[in-house]
Amino acid sequence: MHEKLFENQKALNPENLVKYAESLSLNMDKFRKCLDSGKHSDGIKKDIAEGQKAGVTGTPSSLLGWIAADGRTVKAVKIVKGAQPYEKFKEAIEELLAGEKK
Amino acid sequence: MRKYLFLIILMTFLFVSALPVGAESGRGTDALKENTPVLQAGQQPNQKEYAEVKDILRQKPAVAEVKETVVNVGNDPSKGDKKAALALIEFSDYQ
Repeated sequence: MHEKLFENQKALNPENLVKYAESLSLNMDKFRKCLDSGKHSDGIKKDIAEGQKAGVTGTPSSLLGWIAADGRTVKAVKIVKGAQPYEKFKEAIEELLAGEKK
Repeated sequence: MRKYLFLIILMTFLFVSALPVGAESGRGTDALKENTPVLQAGQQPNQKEYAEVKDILRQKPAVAEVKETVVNVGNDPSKGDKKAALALIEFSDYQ
């Protein structure tokens, strides 16, 4: 579904979303309920707020950080703004790995 | 009768000379003259934006340090080894 949405960036209204779900044989009952209830909108807003706190001002942006032992949080220490080439990411990652592990 | 004939000829002459015959190029030039300031004015917002974008590109590096911020990723979809040291969190739009 993730790929389908990226492939159809100009057609993302709710009717289209339903069509894509159907074409992927998703459970339509669950899908419709999920879509209509808006139950993920809070989670999305929280994600946006967290991103903004760390300095995200637009998309695409990537935060680079250390995964906590329990895997539930990441301590963000770098931000990559925009769709940067692979080399920029590689450089940033190598910098962190070469530096002190926190 | 001749007076009227004269008037008719005079009016015809005045009418014909007022027609934009052979003045096509003149009218075209006038249109250009009128539109040029409009076009130039239209360019100004573009030029301003262009200058702003150049400023932005100069000031803000693609990769920057951020003050340490803890981000919750517990329930987020992910790829790769969850026991890895580093994580890359992607913020993006489908549009």
